[in-house]
Amino acid sequence: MKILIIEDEKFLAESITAYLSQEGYLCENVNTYSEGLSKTFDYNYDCILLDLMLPGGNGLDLLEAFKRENNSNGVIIISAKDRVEDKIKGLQLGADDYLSKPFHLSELSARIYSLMRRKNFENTNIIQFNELQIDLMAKSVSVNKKYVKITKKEYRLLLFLIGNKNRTVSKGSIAEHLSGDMADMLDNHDFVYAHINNLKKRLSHAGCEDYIKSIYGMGYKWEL
Amino acid sequence: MRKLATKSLIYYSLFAILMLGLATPLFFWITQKLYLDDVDEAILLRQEEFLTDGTYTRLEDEDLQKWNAFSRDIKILPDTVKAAKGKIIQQVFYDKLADEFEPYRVLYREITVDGNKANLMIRINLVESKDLIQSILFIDGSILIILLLGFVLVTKVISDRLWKPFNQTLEYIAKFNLEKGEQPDFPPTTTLEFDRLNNSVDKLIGQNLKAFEREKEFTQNASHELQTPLAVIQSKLDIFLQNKNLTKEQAHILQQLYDATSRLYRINKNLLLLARLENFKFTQREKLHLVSILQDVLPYFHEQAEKKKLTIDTNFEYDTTIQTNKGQFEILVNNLILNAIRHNIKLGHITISLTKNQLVVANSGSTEALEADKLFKRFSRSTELAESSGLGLAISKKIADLNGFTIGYSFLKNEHIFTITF
Repeated sequence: MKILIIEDEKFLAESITAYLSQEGYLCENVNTYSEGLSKTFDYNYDCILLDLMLPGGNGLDLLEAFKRENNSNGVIIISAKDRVEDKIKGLQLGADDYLSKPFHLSELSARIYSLMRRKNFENTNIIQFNELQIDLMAKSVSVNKKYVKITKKEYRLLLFLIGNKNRTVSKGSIAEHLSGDMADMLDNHDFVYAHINNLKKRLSHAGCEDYIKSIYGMGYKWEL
Repeated sequence: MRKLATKSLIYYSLFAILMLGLATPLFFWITQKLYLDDVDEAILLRQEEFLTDGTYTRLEDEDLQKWNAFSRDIKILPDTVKAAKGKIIQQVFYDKLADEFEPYRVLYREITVDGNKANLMIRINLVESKDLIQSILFIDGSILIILLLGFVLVTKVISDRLWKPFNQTLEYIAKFNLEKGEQPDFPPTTTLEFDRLNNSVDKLIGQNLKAFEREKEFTQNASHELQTPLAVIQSKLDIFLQNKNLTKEQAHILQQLYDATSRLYRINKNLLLLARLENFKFTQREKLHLVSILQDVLPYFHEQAEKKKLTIDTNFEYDTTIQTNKGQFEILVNNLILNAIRHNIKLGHITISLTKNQLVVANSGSTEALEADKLFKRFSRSTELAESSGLGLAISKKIADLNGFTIGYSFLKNEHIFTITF
């Protein structure tokens, strides 16, 4: 899968590339408005990560330009602008998601993952890992074809880990992912441990192998 | 406090009283002197008439008794007078009619009558100085009263009419609110000083507004600029975490870096929020059911309270609805409850109560009251807790102010109580 990163902050673009490459994505990097424009006209990408404040122009104009071309690729805006109005505007112009800086790479990866699933598997959106099966449409989990009862938060946690499989996700990023709008305010991330533990228990009870590895208690990894 | 006009009136009155007080004895003294001079002149004139006329030279000793009986003020006395002669002196004589002693100017001189030495006495009755003083005091008093009445009247007119533009300006300044950002429009005045005052205040307010605007802009821009480097740091940490050969020590350092970054992010975010709250007039208001808002966020707080094993009690007496901005109200409530968790003790408790017009968050914590006047200021935290951004309560206060709520703190029975009154 090919991803275009239009971001003028080189270090950030490098980090994103490094992280996403581990998942097997092919990443390309451009830093300016005009480069972004020509790339999107010349090539096809599955997903575009778009910064809004670019040298040479506004990312929103870029978004309009390639939405006019009726491009079906997914667009995720990554911007330091974090006002609700900015988000609404971006989404109205056709962006699929909006992530405000700073963000965790794991969060970005999880969003790309779910965006790609939505785009590519519209009817039967089922993730299969050995004995574990996740139905994204029904939002249900089963092990060895047997339904496993799981809370909403545990389901989100599971998808987050799978969206970052084989990579370590920090406790903080999990906490933020699970807290939604509240994330900015919560400073105690200890509750993550409880959710991880519960999820592990439910899966192993149903006969699922333990794929969740703890990294010194500071992060977790879905290892396959 | 006294009005300026009253104060100047007091000084004018004191001056008037002082002047009249000094003038009265002077006036009395001059009047008396003029009067005495007049009387003395008359005595000398009579003496001259008497001597030039020379009638007395024809008198004989036996005639003197008759002369004295008919002449009231010019008498010829035997040479037994001891008083000084040849100059006018003051003496009192008994007045049979009035039955009192009255003052006289008297001149004695030696003459020869019928070959014998005799004393001539010429006298003139003085008007009693008591009467004179009374008349003068009466006139002075009348002048004083008329003066004072005049002062009061003039001052009243002055304070009402002349000071009107000044009072208007004062009212405008008192009503001025920096955060509303509206420059007051002073009514024009024809008084030079007030016009200068208005111009200066106008300029001062304009500069203040600009400075305030610049500060807001600066905070917003600075916070904004910080987002990108923060994003870089955060992403590098995420990359670093992928290192397969992390030692326990490295992981520990990494965790601390994560914590510090996340705190930095929160401070930055809150600064930005604080600066943005000023633009409140553009935000939307809607009808909010407070119970449902509180119930939505409670699960998150139970999670946060887990570590300290806190008990969170809710006491919703009334399903209060208010008209306000949802996002802001949530921030306000979340800040208060998070604060109650953050500054709590192990096994402590929190009570959230909702009445018709109040939301009260009470929590156990330190056994000493916090400094109420510092509490709501930026970065004036009472404890050095690493997690706190030092801005939560400042934000809450600002939101409360902007929405017309009042927020208060009290310490009662070892409980810290924060109250929002709608």
